[in-house]
Amino acid sequence: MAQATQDGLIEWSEELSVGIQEIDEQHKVLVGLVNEMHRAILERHGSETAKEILGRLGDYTRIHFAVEESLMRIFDYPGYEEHKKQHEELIRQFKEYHAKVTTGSAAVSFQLLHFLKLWLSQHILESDKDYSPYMLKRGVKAKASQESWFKRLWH
Amino acid sequence: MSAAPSQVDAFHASLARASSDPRFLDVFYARFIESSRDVAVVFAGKDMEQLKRKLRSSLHVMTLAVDGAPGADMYLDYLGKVHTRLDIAPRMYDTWLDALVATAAECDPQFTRDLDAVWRAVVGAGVQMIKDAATEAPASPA
Repeated sequence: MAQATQDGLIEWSEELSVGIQEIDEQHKVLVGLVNEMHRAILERHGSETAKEILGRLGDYTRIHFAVEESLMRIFDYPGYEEHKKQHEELIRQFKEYHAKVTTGSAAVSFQLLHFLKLWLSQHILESDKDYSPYMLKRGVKAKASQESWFKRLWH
Repeated sequence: MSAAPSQVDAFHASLARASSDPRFLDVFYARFIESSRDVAVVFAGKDMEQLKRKLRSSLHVMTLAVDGAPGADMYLDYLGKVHTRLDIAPRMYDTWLDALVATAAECDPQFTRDLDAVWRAVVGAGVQMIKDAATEAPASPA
């Protein structure tokens, strides 16, 4: 399973690569945001900082899912419905938790952080690695020929 | 998820022996798919390597939950709700557990009747969490 550093951060490695640079870059951003939240909790940066990171993580996750789902629809990926349902459930749980955090009835906790870390690594290793060989066979480029609009906007 | 420490240790040791048998994943899927027509329909035409990856992942999360790792319970809850969205019938969880325990019995050379009970108690607790989440899941997608 995915490597964690000594302090519990997710360490990006080739094991997490799905073989499509564009998607890998997006996954790296997600890993970076989860690690940022981990540091904020560990170093006690305060609940407002944790909430702000959670908000950015939610926004980026939704955009990433939309990109993945568009690719799947364009290339008629047979596992699209199943994959989409995994995304929908995470977004539902995310919204539910975000609402609790926003209203102050819950805090950004280690439980949530570890769930997100587990979800991210399991989803990449288990589900995203299912679609990448299919996409690559149908002509999706493994390496982006130029810096993408997505990366330019988000980095 | 709570199980007695001695049960957890016995489970880990048995899982390590069973999964060191290279046939472990194949034996499991052969048993599971043969167990009922419903299961066979769900898995018809699925890529076996993908399925094996899913089983490894499920067992990994199950062991994290057994060890009380933070976030693992939330992940099992998520899995239950995803399964509901995928129209997985609750009875399939019991079939899954039966196939897993039978596979452990075949692949762990030191398997005993006591270990059968240990697997059912330890993994069964995780399966129950998934079932509970599946029961609570909203009827319509978000």
